[in-house]
Formats: sequence, C-alpha cells, structure tokens
Amino acid sequence: MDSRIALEPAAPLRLVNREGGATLYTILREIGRGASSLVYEASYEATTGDRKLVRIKECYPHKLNIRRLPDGSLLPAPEDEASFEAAKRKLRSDFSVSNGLFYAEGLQGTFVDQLDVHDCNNTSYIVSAFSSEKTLANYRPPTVRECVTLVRQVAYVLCSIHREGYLYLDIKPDNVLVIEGLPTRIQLFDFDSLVPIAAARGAGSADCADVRLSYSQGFAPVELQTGRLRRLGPHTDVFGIGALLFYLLFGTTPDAMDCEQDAAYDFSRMTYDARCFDDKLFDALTGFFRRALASYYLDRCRTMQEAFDLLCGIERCADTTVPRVLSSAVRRPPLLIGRERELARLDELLGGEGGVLFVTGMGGIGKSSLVREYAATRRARYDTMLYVQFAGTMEQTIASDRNVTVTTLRQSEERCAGGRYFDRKLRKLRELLQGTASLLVIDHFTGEVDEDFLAVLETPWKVMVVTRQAPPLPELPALTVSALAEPEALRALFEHHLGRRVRPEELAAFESLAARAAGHTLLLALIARQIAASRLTLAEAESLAAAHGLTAMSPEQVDYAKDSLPRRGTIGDIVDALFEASALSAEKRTLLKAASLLPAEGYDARALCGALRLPSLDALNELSRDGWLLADGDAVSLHPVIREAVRRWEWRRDRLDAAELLLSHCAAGLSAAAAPCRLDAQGNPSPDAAARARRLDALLAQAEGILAECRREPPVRAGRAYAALLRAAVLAMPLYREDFLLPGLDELLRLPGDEASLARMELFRFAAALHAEAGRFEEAESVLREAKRAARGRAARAVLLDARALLLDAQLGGAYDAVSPRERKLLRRLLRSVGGALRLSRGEEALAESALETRSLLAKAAILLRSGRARPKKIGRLLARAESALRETPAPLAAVRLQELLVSGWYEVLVLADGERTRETVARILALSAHSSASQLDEIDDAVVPCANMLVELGLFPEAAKLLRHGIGLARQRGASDACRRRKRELYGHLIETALLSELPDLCRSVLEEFRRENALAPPGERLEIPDALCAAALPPGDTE
Amino acid sequence: MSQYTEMLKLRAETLSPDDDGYEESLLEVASLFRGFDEALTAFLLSHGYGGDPADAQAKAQFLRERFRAAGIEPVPRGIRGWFTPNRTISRKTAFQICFAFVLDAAGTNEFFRTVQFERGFDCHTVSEAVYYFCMRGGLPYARAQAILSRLPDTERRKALPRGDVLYTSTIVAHIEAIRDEERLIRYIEDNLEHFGYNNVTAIKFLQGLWASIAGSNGLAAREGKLIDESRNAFHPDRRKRPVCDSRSREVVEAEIRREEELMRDDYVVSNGESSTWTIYTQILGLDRSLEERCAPTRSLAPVLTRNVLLPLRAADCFPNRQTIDQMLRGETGDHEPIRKLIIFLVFYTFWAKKLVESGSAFFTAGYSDAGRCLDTINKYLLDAGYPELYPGNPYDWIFLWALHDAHPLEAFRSYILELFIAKDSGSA
Repeated sequence: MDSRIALEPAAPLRLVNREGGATLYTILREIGRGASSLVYEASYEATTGDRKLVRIKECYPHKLNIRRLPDGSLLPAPEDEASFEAAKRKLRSDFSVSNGLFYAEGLQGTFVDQLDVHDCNNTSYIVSAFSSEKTLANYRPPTVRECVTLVRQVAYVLCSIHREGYLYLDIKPDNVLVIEGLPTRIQLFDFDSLVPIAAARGAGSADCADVRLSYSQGFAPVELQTGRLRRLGPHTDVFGIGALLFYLLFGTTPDAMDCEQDAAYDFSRMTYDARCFDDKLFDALTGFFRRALASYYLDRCRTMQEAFDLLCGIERCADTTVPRVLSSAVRRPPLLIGRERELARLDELLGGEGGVLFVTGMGGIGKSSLVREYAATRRARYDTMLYVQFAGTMEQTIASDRNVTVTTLRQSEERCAGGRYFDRKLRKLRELLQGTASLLVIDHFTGEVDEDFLAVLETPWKVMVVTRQAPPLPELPALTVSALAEPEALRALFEHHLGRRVRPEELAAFESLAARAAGHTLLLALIARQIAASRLTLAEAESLAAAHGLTAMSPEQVDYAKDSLPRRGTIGDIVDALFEASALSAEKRTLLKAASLLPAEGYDARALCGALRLPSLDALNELSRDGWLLADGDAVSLHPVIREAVRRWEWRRDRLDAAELLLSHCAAGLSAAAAPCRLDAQGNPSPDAAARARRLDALLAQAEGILAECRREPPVRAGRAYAALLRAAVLAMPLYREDFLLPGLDELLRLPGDEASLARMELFRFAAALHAEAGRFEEAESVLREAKRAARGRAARAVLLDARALLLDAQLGGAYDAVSPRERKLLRRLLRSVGGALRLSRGEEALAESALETRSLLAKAAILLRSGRARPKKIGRLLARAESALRETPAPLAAVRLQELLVSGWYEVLVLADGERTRETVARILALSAHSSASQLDEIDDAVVPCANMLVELGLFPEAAKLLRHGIGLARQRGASDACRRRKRELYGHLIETALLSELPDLCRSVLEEFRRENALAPPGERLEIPDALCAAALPPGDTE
Repeated sequence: MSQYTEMLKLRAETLSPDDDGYEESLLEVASLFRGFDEALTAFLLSHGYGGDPADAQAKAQFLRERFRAAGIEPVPRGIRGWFTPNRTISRKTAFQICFAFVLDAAGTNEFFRTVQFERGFDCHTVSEAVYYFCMRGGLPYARAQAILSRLPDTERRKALPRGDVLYTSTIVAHIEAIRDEERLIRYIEDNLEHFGYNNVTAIKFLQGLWASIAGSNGLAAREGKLIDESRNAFHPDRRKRPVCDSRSREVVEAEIRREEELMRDDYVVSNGESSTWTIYTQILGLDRSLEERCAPTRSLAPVLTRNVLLPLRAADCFPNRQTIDQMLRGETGDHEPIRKLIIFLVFYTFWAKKLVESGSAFFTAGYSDAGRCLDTINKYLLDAGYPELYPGNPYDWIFLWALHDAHPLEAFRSYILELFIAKDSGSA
C-alpha cells in the first residue's frame, strides 16, 4: 500500500536557486510516482505573463515512514531520518549525473531536460522542462519498423550512457517517453537506477545474493534479478533493450523459453501482421533476440553498440515502403539421409548464371526434401529466395501475392490498372532482381512449358522446377531423384523412423521390406513408423507385407511429416494422398489399374497397347512422362509404391474389362507359345520350335508375375480370364516347377466351372501324373478318386484310365518282369488301364488332338515288350498300328513320334537284339527330343534315361555312361530346383548301376572320381552316398585295398 | 552469502565423481544440510537473537515476543518443536514469522528461499496476495487479517481453466499499482475466479519442456539413440581377444555372444512412442535391472525414502511420473513438486540438447556451460515465481553439483545410481 500523500493541486511551491532567486510554481496535478519520488505537472508565469508548464519531481521514498504536514512539508519518523537524508542526497547526485550526461556528445535531446534541483518542504525537488506524457507503455507504434526505430534510439542513448561509464539497469516501457513528430523520438527519464560501471565491477564481496537492486520484472536479466553485481555490465542493459522490443512486438515480456540459446519465436503471434515481412526480418529478429535475451550474460551482445548495429539491420528489413521482393521462409527437412551426391549435383548445376533446372522423380521419393535442404542450407548464397507451390498455371503461381510478395505491389489494388497483373509483376521483379543472386523454386509443378513459363525464365533468377514429370525438352538440365540405393542410408532412415536400431537377426526382414519398398524413402519411413505404431516385429511386418501388401500391413495410423507438415493416417491413406489421380482421365486411370497387374519386371509397351486395344502408344507415353509409369526400353511397369496406390482404386466394370483383356491376351500368347511341337511332312519338328521354347520361358515368367498380382485382387481372380491364364500357365509350365504347378493345379481344380469337362479331366490327369512322377502315390490316388467322381462319357473315362496307367507305371517303377505278387498285380492293372484307355479312345473325336489312342497303342506295346507277356508278332502289330496312325495324322505330335521311336528302340533291343539299329534309333530319339522337348528335364525323362537303358541292355556300357553324363549336364543347366536335384540324383544312380554292371574298373574309377568331385562342391546335405561296391569295383585288378 | 551457503557452494563446485572417496564425500555433504530448525536458528541469530543458539526454549521465547510485538494473535503454538530436526511449518506460519520480523517483500522471499525452502509469495492465492500488498506497504499482520476477513473464500481448482488465464506476474503488477486497501479488495473480488488456480506459468513451462523431450523427434528419443549406439552397443573392439588367449574359437565366440547379449539394451532408452515412465527412467539413467526393480510401482519412492544420501528436504516431492502426468493434464498442484520438476526438466533438456548437438553420448561440457545452465534454470524458476537455486537446499545442491561436472548428465545419473547403492547398503 502506498500511503504517500501528494501535494494538493493549486498548491504553491516556491523554489529558490543557489543565488537566492525564487520561482513560484503552482502544482497542477500528480502525474506519477516511483519508489523514491512523486512527479507533478506544475506551471509558473514567465516574464511575459505566459504560463509555462514544467515537471517537478519530489523526493519522497515509498519505503520510509514519512508524514506530509499541513504546510506541505515532509516529516520522517526518527528511525528513517538518516535514510531520508540519504535519499535526498541520492536525488541530488542523480541530478548531477543526468545533467552531465545531458550535455555529453550525442545525448542532447535524448533525456528529459532537468533544469535545477531545489530544497523545499524539508525535501528536494528537481524541476524539468515540460515533456510528453506518452511513454512506450501507453503508445503503440503504428508499424514494426517504428518499433525497431524507437528501440534503436533507446539503444543509441544507452550506448552513450555506457560510454560515459554508467549502466541504466531499468529499461522498461514506462521509462521511455515518446515524442511524436517527424520523426518520432524518444527521451529517457528516471535516472534512479543509474549505476557506475566501475562500481558494479568492483562489487567484490557484494557479489552475493544478499544485495538486491530494484528491477522491473520481465525486463531484467537473471544477474540483476539474483543480485550478482559483478556480472552486471552493458549486456545487462542489452537484455532490457531486447525485452523492450519483444514487448513492443508481442505485447508481452519474454519468458524463460524465449531466453534459451536456441529459442524459436512464433512471429505469427506478433501484434503486427507478420505476413507483410519475409524471413530476412524474422531471421534478423531471431538473431537479435538470441543475442539480447540470452539467460547467460556472456551469450548476450557484449556492448550496446553491437545491439545497436543489429537493430539498424532489422530496421532496414522492416521497411515496407521500399520496393522489395520478400524471400520465403524455407524450413529444413527434419531428416535427409543419403542424398549427399544429389546435393553436390545441385550445387554443380546451379553454380552457373541463371537458367532453369528440373528436379524430377516419383512422388514421395524425396524431391521436395532435397530441394528444401538445398534452399535452407544455401540460403546465404542468394539475396532473394522464393519457394512457391505451383498453383495450376504459371500466371497464378507468380501473380499470387502469397507466393511472391513485392512489397509495393498488391494484386487487389492492381485490378483496375488494366493488363495482366502477372506481366506487371514480372516487370517489377526483373527490375528489382537485376544484378542480384536469386532463386525461384516451384514445387509440385504439373503445368506445361508455355509462354508464361518462358516469361518467368526471362527474369534474372535461377529457376528450380520440382516435378514428377520428365522435362518437356530433353536438352533442359535435369536432376532425377531416384530411390535410395545405399543400404546404410536405407537402414539409417528406417532406424530413425523405427526409433531403434535394426538388430542383426532382423536384417533379413529389413532387407526384404526395403526391397519391397524399392528404396522409396517415404514408404520405407511409413513402414518403419507402422511397425513402431503397431508394435510389430520386423519378421511379422515382412510376412504381413507379403500377404497383404505394404499398405495394408496393419490398421494403426502413423504420424509423419510430408513437405515439413505433420500428418497422420494409415499408410494406405497416405499413399492415396501422395498419388492423388483426380487429374487423370478415366481412360488413363483404367489403363493404370490394368497395368497394376503387370509384373515388376515390366511388360512390352506395344504388347500392352495391343492387349488393351489402345489406338496408339500416346496414353502410355504420357503416363510415363508424368511419372506414373516406369519405362525401361520397350518395357513399362509401375513403381511398387504407385502400384500400391493404384491397387487401392476401386475395380469398376471398365477397369475389370481392361484387366480381362490383358489376361486373355497373355493366356492366348502363352497357349500359342506352349502348343505341343508337331512334325512336318518329312517328320522333322517345326523349325520355330526352339524359338517358341525360348519365348515360352519369358511368357511364363510374365504370366507367373501377373497371376501373383491377380491373387491379391479378388474381383480379377473371380473372372474367366484369370482361370484361362492360370490354366495356360499350368499346362505350359515345366514339370520341375512343382512349386507353381501343385498350387496352380489345386486352384484350377477348385475353380467353379464345368465339373465333367474334358479339359478338367486333363487337369486331373496332369496332377496325378505330377504326383506319381514324384513318388507321391497317395496324393495321385486321391486326385484320381476325385477325377473318377467327375468323369462322364467315354472320352473322360479314357483320360481317367490313361491317368491311372501313368500312376500304375510309376508304381511299378520299371519292374516289368513282375517278380513279386505286388508287381504282378500292378502289371495286370496297368495293362487293363492301358487297354481300357485304348478301347475308350478309339474313334473319339474329342481325343484326336491329344492322340490318346496312338499313345495307348504304343504304351501297350512297350509294356508287353518289357514284360515279355506277348509274342513279338503281337507287339509288332501294335507298333504297326501306331505307325499307321501317325502316318495318317497330317501333323503328328512330336511327343507321340518320340514315344513311337522309343518303343521301336526297345523292340530292336529286346526282340531283334540289333545293336546297330538300336544306336541309330537312339540317335534319332535324342535328335527329336532335343528339338521338341519343352525343357531339359523332359529331355532327360523322355529320351536320355530310356536310351541309356537300351544301351545298357545291349551291354554298351561306356556309351550308356556317356549318355547319362550328358543327362547330368542337362539337369545342371536347368538350375537348382528340387526337381533338378532329384533328376541329377537319379541320373547318378543310373550311372553307378551302369558302372557296376559293366564291371569295367576304368569306368568305375572315372565314375567314382566324378562322384568325389561332385561331393566336394555340394553342400553337406546334398552329398551323394558312394556305394562301397563302386569303390571296390574301381580298384585295379588284384588290389584289395 | 553465509558461510554455510559458501561452503556448500564450494563443495558443489569441487566434488567430482572421479575423486577418491567420492561416495563418502557425498554422504558427508548429505549430512551437512541444515533442516528448518537450523535454518531458523541462523535466521534468528541474524535478526536480533543473542542467546544460546542451542537453547530451544530461549529461541522459542524470543519468537513469542516478536509475535506479540507485531500483534500476531494468537501466537502460534508449539514453537519449541520447530527447533527439533525434520520439522516443517505451514506457509501461513512462515508468513507470520516474516510479519513478526517486519520483513519487506524481498526479505520475505529470501526467508522462504533460505529457511522455508519454498517459493515466496504466490499472488494467485488471495491470502498471499494480501500479504504481498501489506508487506510492500509496511502494513502489519493485523491489517492483512482485517483485509482478508472482508474477502470471500475461494475454491481451489484442480486444473487450469480452458479459457484465458491470468498470469501471476500480471496480478503482481496490478497489486503493485494499487495504492489503497479498497481498490485491492475490489480487484481481488473482480478477479476472484483467477485466484482459484496457480502455477500457470510453471505449467506452461513444464508442458513446453516435456514437448521438447517426448515425441519421435524429442530430445529423449534422440538422446536414447545416442545411448543405444554407444553405451548399449557392443563395441567392435570387445570382439578382439588377446593373442595369448588359448581357448578354442567356439568358447571365445560363445563368451562374446554372452557379453553382447548382456550389453544390449542395458540402459533404458525411449523412442518416439515411449511412455512417461520410460522417458523418466531414461532421464534418471536407470539400466534395465534398476528399471525393473522400480517397475511394479513405477516409482522411485522406495529408493528415495529414508535414504542416507538424500536429506528429507530433497526426497520430499522428488520428481516422479505422477507429477509429470498431472502437469501434462494441466492440473495445478503444490509448489514444491512443480519447482523440483522445473529444475529436473530444465537441467535435462539443457544437457540433452548439448549432447544431441554434439552427436556423442560422451559429450564434455564447455567452459561456460555450467554458468549457462545455472542461469537457464534460474531464469525458468524466477519467471515461474520460484526462488533461484540455493546451494543450501539439498535438492538444488544435487543439480548445482552435477552441472559443474565435465559430464553433467552422467554425474547426475551417477548420483541416482548412488542412491540405489546407498539404499541397498542401508537395507543390508
């Protein structure tokens, strides 16, 4: 409570000067009170009779117990007398100090003019010239610039005070008078707080918390608040200056957070419109506040001159009356990994004068982040830097004052000026930017290179266009931002978003996920965040991604930043937003949807064009230029991330139709390439068989990829075209691809359709044969049982019996001599099945294509021949019938001809025992097989092994061994599938058997060495077991060791 | 600065975890702190008491006389008990002492800082706003009571209001401009709703500090990554074994694997999704075993309570998970937990920032970093209306000591580890 009693208005105050001259003042009113004094407005009469206004300060300390007597004089309590005297002395001393400062160089007019000090009413009075009542506490400068100007003036005054050896220590709005005029000026008053710098520095023992100076909360730094006198210095007043400007701009004093070394200030919360200024001003203000408001005294400007200089710079930036192009604030991306090479390339490409640079790459790959990093870290290289978002057209982009601000131009004010604002603005920009280093970045560019674009290029700035599109002209410089390739960078990015390190045991799963994301930075980051948000292990994530795709791993939303803006959503939503396709025509979207089924390896663009019945390649080319399709030579494909986005589009009827067209086209191509090889009139296989076989491999790989994509699309999978393609692929696939064939057959047999169709029965036969060949007899039986339930009509039953015969033949395992009862039984059933198939297929049109009748004739002949159950004459008759049927067929199947040759070969071996003829037949078999077999494994099964058997039967062991080694070579060529390994193992078995039967030590030795070589190279689990008998047989005669 | 404060300040600046007998020195320092009884005795000695400092009866009598002289009626009871160890008094009684010794506002704040170990005036509380007004104007306690009797009771709010809030500094500025009691009463009555909560600035600071610590790009996650890469990582050199190691390769490799397993995730580290508890334990520098020990209650209280290394004043309201959660919910609370939490979080953010900027978990503090950290903490405290760090306050001393170390965060964490060890030794 302030109990001080002020002098009454109209009270006279007769003040006498040193020479005895007196002036009579009249108190008008009290206008303020401080801790040690009251301030009045008063007047006196000049010699002309004019009334002159003055200010009078009365020494009247608040803390002391002092009474006002009726005559106006002050009476202190006895215990406060000494303190009161000291206060009066202090007032006089302050007068002398301020008077000295008043006349100091540079300070004239910056202080209230204190005229004299007088004693009266048992206290002291200072009379000052009249001054404004307006202070910075009640005056709001109209502009930011004026705020800075006024504070700069205060800094200037303080600079001079410091030069005179004093600290002010009580900067606050209430202590700064504002004198409005042209220009507005300030004056300081209240010098109670002045402290000589030397006294502060020599405080010595006073440097403790026990000594406290008075200060104003919010405007005093820590050292002043905590009374650490030795730490006081010009930097203490610097804090006051910083706080004063902060107060003027934000309407509040800075708090602890604003005084941190790395404080960031939200200038949108200024009491002035922040949109009128660019980042130059805000950067300058931030720099100033950090140097002025730092909590730690040594982090502040050491001298007021430093602060003054900073304020001068800020003042220039805050001037909105000078035409200027305002630079954009570019925020550095929070993380940029693995783009050092691209940044260096940007430096290189932008090193020259002017020009344009296209930065291209697919959405989410990190183009904008790269460019932002460049812009933020190379800001100092440019006088003006504009970072704008493309607004549909170049005219709208540049004309928008939000994008490109010229301080003296306003789009709204230019409406009536006639002509295009865009043109006038560009003219002004050219004028302002002439001779400067300037950069314009246009992000998310989706427009055309038109006249406006070219006009922008004529402005003296470098233009960087960030776009998904390829540059419109190939000669324009471009930097393509591609996927992150460095594994370390990918891992670092992933770990950053995962929030932890990838452990060694998780590496495989990480690598697989990274491969699925194809190095796409945003997707990889999202995957990592999804894993963290859904508490998944990397292995779980990998398995979910494999099953459902990357965008449907988990339903949890993730936080992420795109273009420096925080966002939240599921990966699917985010990818949708990233590849927003509303600008694409319906036709193009249909095309993309169908193309989402293409394998990652790509698809021939012309073939795709034909499949989808497109009039030309234009649509594909445009999609490729706009970054939707990846073009690699003639092949086009979708990036995995775009595929994920397109996959989420709805399957409308037109899109399904397009997909059906694509699948049907593939199926037709595959069926054509996989058509069984036929013989010409001379009995030679058609010349394009080998080429077709090579093409078949490529088509099969393509079909497999497409089928895998279709399996994730239920609407497509439910269509007929999918079934047709699957069937074509299954029937064309080599037998060793059981990994594809078994699930494929299973799926085909479960598809709804004509249960009893012959085609279906053929599939049953194929499945049974596949199982039987692999020794899975139970599975084969199961398939046949199902087939039996479905078999209707003669043709179907014929196929069923043929399938049964295949199984029984496999079960018999070549034991045609049928020694055991089981073998005898199997042989009987085999003959019955073959006979049944022959009987039922006779004259069946539906089976003509597959030549089942001829094949059955040959099968029966072969069995009878091998089992010795019929006379040679009967076998000869069967063979003759088969040959006749083959002759009558216009273009017989090569496979049937091969079968016929094999049976003939066996006839020559077993009945005629003619080695020469057999050799000739073997040669013909091998030649035909080499040209007609679908794969090397078929060649082994159909020709190599039977021919080797024939040669063994004739005792031609070295020739048989040579043939078997040829077979092993074929198996090796085919790769490392299970089927290949199995064949190789079987061939080695045959080779051992051949060597042992031969009893030729040289042959046995060579086989043994071959085995050892093979085992040395094979992994432990795949090593061959070498029979002791072979080792023994390989020893030289007489050697028992 | 008193001899007591000077001595503790010196120990804070010189005691290093690398010193011989460091643990014993910590125990010795812990025994040096004076409680309220001793601090009050020191205060009396400097305010006119000339009797035997050990004579509780005489000191109580001196106090009673001062209370009576200042018109404080009734005189507080049980004064003699104030001079027994581990005693505390209410804020109201502390203000009565200040009135009794005719302290001004600054003197009262100093009394609260050095004797009561609490914040000074909380002008968001009606009674303390009135005390502040009276002490600034030199009005006696009776006058303050008379003013208070004319004011209605206020209901304390558990959380900050959703709309505009009134900062304590604004209230203080208003009170300082008021010259008479009537206007003070009118001001309080007009703004009564704003006297139901407090610590607005402090909660704003704490929420801001926590925002910079938590989250995927927060300091804790970034510091955690550094810890993970250094302290939790198995350094490649460890794989090297001496040439003379004659054991079989399998045995050596098995040993390395075991070591690697032990090293992994040793220290608790947080990531962007971590809970308050995980971040809190990371700040404290707990390893997995210590964290698991505290996990059932998710509190450090069992370790802090009756710990020989931690005087009662420091253990009381030691920052904990609940306080952080309350603060995040915007709940207003008692002063002491909030002050301690401010110190704790500012200290951590200051050094964690340095550490993250340096890119090394083994960051070494620069020459002026200690002073910089001290001023930063003090700035936060003063702006939130709390007294600055005081070496005589055992809780403050921990931080004053740690920030003078070359590795301040590590020093603080080693102190926390010492608390566990001291507790275990004490239990044993």
